[in-house]
Amino acid sequence: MVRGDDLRDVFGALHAADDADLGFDVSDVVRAGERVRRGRRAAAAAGSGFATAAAVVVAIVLLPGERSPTPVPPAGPATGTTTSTPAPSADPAPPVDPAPPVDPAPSTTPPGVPAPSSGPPLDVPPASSGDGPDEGHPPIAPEGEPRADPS
Amino acid sequence: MTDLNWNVEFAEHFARSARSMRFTAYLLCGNYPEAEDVVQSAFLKLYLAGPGAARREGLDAYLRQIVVRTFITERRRVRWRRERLVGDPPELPEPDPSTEVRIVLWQALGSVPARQRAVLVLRYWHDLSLEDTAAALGCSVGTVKSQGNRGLAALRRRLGPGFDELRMEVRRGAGR
Repeated sequence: MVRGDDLRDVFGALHAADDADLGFDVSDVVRAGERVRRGRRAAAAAGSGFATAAAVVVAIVLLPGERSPTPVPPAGPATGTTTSTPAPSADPAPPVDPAPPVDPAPSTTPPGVPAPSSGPPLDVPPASSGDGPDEGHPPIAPEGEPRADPS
Repeated sequence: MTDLNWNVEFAEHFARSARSMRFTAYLLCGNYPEAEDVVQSAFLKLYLAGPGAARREGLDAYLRQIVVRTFITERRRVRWRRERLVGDPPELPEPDPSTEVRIVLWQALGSVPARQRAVLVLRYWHDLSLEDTAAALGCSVGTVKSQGNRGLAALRRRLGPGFDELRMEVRRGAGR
C-alpha cells in the first residue's frame, strides 16, 4: 500500500542521499542570460529598422507624388517684377446674392395699380378699378389732337 | 530594481535553492543530466524574467513553477521526438545495494506519467496544498486530486506489497 506519507518519507530519504555536485554555477546562468538579452536587443533593433525601411519604401511606392507624365520645361529668366496680393481678410465679406434684373425706369405707379406693360405711359389710361386714387380724372389727350367733347 | 541589484539577489537565491531545485527536478526526471538541464533552463528563465515577475508570487514559488512546467514541456517534446534521455548507461555496475533499491524506486516513479509525477512531487515533497499545486501546474484543484490519486495507484501497482521494504531500505541507505 503506497500512501502519501510513505512517499514523503521516501522522498526525504532520497534527498538525504543526494550528494552529487551541481553541474553548473550561477555565472553560467548569468552569462547565458546576458547572451539571450543581447540577442533579443539585436533582434528588436533589426526588426524596428526593417519595419522603418519597409514603411518608407511602401510610402514612396504607393503615395501619389507631384510626378507628371510629361517633362516640365525649365523656368525662364526671372522678370524682376513682383506682385503683391492682398492678404486674405480674416473676416470675409458675406456672400452677395445675385441681383434680380433691375427695371431701368422705376415705376411711378402707385400701389394697387398694375404697371403698364408697354407703350407710352400716357396713351394707356390707367385701369379704373374704381378704387384707385386717380378715379374721376379725365383721360389726357395727346397733344395735337382735338379733345373730344364729352357733350 | 537595477540590473546590478537583480544580479546580486539572483546569485543569492541561486546559492540558496539550486540544490533543492535540482533534487525536485531529479524526482521529476529520474536522472541527473536531465534534471540539471531542466534546472538550468528554469534559472535562466527566472533571470530573464527579472525581479518584477518573480515578486508577484515569490522567488521560490515562481522558480518551482518554472521547473515543473519546464519538465512537463520537455517531456512533451521528448515524446514528440520519440527520444528517451537516460542518465547513465544501463550496463554500469551498481555495487551499493541501497542504490539498487533506489533504482527500483526510480523506475517505479518513472512509470508514472509526467503530470501525475509532478503532482506527487509537489504534494508530497514540497508539501503544497491542493490549491498551490493547481496554481503551479496551471490546472484545476479537481485535476490535481484525480492526477494525484492516479499517480499513487500507479506506484501501488508497480511496487505492490514490497513498497514498505523498499522504503525501509531507502531510509537505511540514507542514514549511512
